[in-house]
Amino acid sequence: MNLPILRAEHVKTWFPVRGLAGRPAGTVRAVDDVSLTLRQGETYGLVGETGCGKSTLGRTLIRLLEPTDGRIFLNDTEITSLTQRQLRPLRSKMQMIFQDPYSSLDGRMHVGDILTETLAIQGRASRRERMERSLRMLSEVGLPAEHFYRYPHELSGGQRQRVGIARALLSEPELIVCDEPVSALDVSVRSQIIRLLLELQRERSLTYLFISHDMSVVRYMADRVGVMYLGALVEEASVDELFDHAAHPYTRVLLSAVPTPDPRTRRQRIVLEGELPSPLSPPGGCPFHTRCAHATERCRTERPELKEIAPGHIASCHII
Amino acid sequence: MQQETFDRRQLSRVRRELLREQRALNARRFFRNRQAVFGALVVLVMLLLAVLAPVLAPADPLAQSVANRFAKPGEAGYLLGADKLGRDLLSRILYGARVSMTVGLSVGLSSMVFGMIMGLYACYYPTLDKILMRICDGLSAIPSTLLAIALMAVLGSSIYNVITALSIVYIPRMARVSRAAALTVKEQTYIEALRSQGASSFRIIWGHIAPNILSSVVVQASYNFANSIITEAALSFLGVGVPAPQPSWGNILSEGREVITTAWWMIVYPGAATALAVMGTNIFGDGLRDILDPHSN
Repeated sequence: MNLPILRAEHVKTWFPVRGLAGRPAGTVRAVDDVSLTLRQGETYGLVGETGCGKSTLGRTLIRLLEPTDGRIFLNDTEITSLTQRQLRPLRSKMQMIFQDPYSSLDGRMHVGDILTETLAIQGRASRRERMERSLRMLSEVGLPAEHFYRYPHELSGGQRQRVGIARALLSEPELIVCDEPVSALDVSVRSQIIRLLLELQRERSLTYLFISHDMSVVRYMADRVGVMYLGALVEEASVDELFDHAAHPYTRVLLSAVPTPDPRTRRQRIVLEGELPSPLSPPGGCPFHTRCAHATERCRTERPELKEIAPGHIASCHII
Repeated sequence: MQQETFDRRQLSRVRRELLREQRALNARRFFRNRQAVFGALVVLVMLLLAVLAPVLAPADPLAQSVANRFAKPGEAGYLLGADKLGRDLLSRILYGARVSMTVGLSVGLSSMVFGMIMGLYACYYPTLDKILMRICDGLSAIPSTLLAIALMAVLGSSIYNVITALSIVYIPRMARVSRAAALTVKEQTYIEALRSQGASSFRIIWGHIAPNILSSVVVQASYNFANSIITEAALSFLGVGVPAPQPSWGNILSEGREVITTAWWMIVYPGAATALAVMGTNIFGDGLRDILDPHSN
């Protein structure tokens, strides 16, 4: 088993909501008590529907957002108590690849400037060396050197995402948070970017936190998978275990929604009733009980704890 | 030794080519926009006239000639006529252009610099934002001409004080415009990317937010330029702007008001000059806005 690279303990990220005239109107519990461990060199897939807090969790783990509570360790260094200034030297170790390749690049700078700036921020290397390293990185992500002087608007979505990947890699990170890196791309480009990510991971032994709502991409990419619902982790297992023996009713709903390429196979689609409850006023008891087909009286009143149901497989549900 | 995957010479050639292309594209975009070209032309001519006033003016704008009081346009060598002291109106208008252009440029520039700094830092520091924006609210609650008059009353009339007063009047607007633009830019993912790389706030503010709001700021500065020309004229007209012997379009108009029925040229020419300058800069600003921000239409 590989060593943990990042460990989160009971992390909470709450946002105050202000109503009319700036009065506090409540708190959005975007991430509500999540503990997880990312191991060196693995891809941890984080899945869940829109608004479940998976992006917020990803951003909190690398402290782009401030956790309200909980502790985060990067290689045994606690990073929750560091100030942003103290954090700066550690920033290069944890990078992020963003969902939208259009707003993630400054349109006023050409690709070369975007890449060399990463090295300038770290204050390492001479101007010439920065340029050389950027050019080498450009070819590593599969872009020709001529693109160095191209502006983002001259590139396609896939090419832009490659620039985003190059930017993240230039600071030689150990951990990369991939926030839906392929969901804004055409299906044909998706597989190229996924292959690139896997290739880079192999070469550089990177750890990925791969956030996605696309179960088939996660199945292909991830080693372990965590399922989030309403800000909480409801199930976690290795990818095969999760796809074959999903325990939590919500995970089973997600899996039943994965399309199959063969039109003749009939799959049993479980359709969820009702809306995702507002994270402003999460339901008491099990957060999923309002939409769960198997909910009992106990689910309505008592919040289930995460428990190990098989080696390395945890889930929070009363009925399993 | 790692093998170079690129040919340095070829790359710099690519760069030159792309730069040339970009420049040609920008030039074409500018010249296709008739508004911008016309406005720029008017502003350019006005600036040239102002700079070259000592060369172009047929006479000393302060030289009096009692014999030629209210000489009609064309009479006795007065191309645009003379005022009540027999001073050459054309020369006075040319020298007046110096005042207007100096005020317009200075106020445009200073409001741009200070307004932009305020807007940029306001978007980044919430507490500062609250303080600055309340001050701006207070200042913009007072009608701009009234505020300018009040400030002039405190400062005393001189061209430098006109510039100071008008800057104070126009900075809040600029601060608001740049703050609004900066807030939009700040939400962009590339700012988050910079934070994730550990970029300092100085780098983010000046290296990324500032260049991205520059177009809105420049457009607003061109409006401030136009507005300050007209407000300067208004102040001088009311007698609190540029003091008397020094010619300004406003104080020429003010002298003309007394003789509006007998000496029409005293009103028509300086009035036309003011109108043209303001219209030109406004049209230039509109054109600039269309070029820099194609979405605003």
